[in-house]
Amino acid sequence: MNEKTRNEHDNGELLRIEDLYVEYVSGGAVSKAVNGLNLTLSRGEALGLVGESGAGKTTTALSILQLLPDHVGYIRKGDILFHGESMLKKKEKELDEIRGKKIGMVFANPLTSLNPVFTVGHQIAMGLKKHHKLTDKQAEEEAAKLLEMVGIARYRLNDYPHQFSGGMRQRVGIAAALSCNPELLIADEPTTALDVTIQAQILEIMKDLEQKYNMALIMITHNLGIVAELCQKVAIMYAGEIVEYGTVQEVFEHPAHWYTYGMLHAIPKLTGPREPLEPIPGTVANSQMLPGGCKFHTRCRHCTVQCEKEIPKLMKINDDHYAACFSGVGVKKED
Amino acid sequence: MKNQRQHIRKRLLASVFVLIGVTIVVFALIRLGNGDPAAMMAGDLATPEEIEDYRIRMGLDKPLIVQYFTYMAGLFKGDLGYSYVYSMPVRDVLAKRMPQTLMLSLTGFAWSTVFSIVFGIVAGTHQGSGVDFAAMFFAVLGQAMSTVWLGFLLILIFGVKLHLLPIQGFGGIEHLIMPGLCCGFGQAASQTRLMRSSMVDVIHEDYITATRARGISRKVTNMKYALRNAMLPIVTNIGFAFGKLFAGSIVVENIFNWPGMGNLMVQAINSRDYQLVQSILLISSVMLVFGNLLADLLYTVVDPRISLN
Repeated sequence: MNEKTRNEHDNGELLRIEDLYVEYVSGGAVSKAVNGLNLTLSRGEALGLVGESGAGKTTTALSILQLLPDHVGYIRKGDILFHGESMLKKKEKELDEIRGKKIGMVFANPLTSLNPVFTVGHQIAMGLKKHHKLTDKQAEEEAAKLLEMVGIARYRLNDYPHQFSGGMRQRVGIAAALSCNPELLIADEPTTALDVTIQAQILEIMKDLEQKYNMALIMITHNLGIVAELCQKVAIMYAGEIVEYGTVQEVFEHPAHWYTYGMLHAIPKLTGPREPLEPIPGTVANSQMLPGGCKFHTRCRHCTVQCEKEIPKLMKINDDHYAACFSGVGVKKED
Repeated sequence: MKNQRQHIRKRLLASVFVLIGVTIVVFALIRLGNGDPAAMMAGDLATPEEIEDYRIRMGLDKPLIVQYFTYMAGLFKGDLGYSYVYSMPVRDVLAKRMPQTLMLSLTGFAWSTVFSIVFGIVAGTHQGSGVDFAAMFFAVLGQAMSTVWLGFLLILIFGVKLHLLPIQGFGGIEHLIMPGLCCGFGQAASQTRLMRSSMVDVIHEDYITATRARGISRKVTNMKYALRNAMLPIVTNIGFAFGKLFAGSIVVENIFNWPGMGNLMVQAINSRDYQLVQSILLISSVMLVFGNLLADLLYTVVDPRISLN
């Protein structure tokens, strides 16, 4: 695509996911991980993708990079447009030019996401050598700078992952993901495997870098506090769909989906009188046997006949807020 | 580096003790079996006096403990003893047989190593494909089939029916094909399976997805970043295989009448040629100990997590 046609597409939109369906097939069982997901992300925008374990967050991330496990994960329907171009239609070679260079990814578990038999320097530098065609020496120098940027001394460049703590390894993972200045960083629960004090460090680093590089961020998490800290927009996922979407302030202050409402009320408050927490009853919908209608209806206290029959679409509440709930808008008034 | 040298020295010293242990066991075991070497040497028509005469000449009249220390004293001087059956020093007997055995077992070792690694990688990176199926079929077949049966099968097909290859003996390269194939067959099969499953495991690791997410192509990811991890169990296995080289050739040499040490050992046991048997077993023990040491050291080279201390 030449510059002119690209500019026509250029309305600040970086990534658009259209009606995405992803399935995992193993041993005859089919898990519907993502079911009709729609999402748009602008340049430099930070989006929090929130949901329980099994909501399809990681699957969405891997779909964007076209890295679903071979012969197991399949995109059944929909499209993923990056800069207006379909990621699904790209050849492996073209994808390799996007992965790491334009889209970086930080993985959930720093203990398993670094290769144990290569030095951290090598792993940070591999993207640089591939995408920026740097020599070994230049790449090493760059890697050292990146390491310092995430707060690790440069002399540790030739150490192996096992010589680092979990928090440091995650910083290495972040340095590697950022090595080529990506336009989009996907951070898949980057703090879940770390303890609380280290979480704060990692978030601090991510916040700094987000401002410094002006990149777009998809922050996958089930921690609403992280979203409030880092993101402007938030998308709430349930059973492979986005059930609520909007600015962080709007969604957190005026939740319009009963699932979001439930999540926000399941968080203990540190100040004020103690109130009993309201858990969301039941467990996450089984992706191999999804209920019909609204997938949350089996756990919803406000379920109607319509909820059991029809699948709610994302409906506009105002310019900054969308929700897919037939009975939920009333939450706003009640609250 | 200093640690490495220190470690090697320590391991070598330990190996010496292991080998001394081996000499004791071998020395005792062969004498526990029935049969009298003096009677065998003297022949069927010998009188008891003649047999006694042989016993004294062979030093077998002395107490066992004295015999053992005489043997060990010789060993430390580099003297492997004397073969009464061949009427020459054990060293000379072995010198004539060793090259053939080395040729045979190294052939088996080389082809099985190369073949299993290549086949295993292809199968592991193409899980569920035809190649993968073929690899698994080969692995099951190779592990289930005994070398003896395979040897006779090969002889029947390529020797007797097709007249393509000589059925026994030593000579040109055509003599090496069937025994060499037999020698590495079991190893190739089990190692193919190991390589495949190791590759499959590694490919599904997070760090491989992470590597791909950095834009590294599938090919480079598999051949560089996954392979190095997948090789870890293979390296140990190769070390062990190297140690078992001689052991494997015993059966094969006897099937194909290959003039090597395996063949020699069976004859030596049958004729109660004590010192020859002791030496052959000692040599294969040395190989085994050395193979394990090799595996250990290679491991520290390919896996930075294994520290030598």
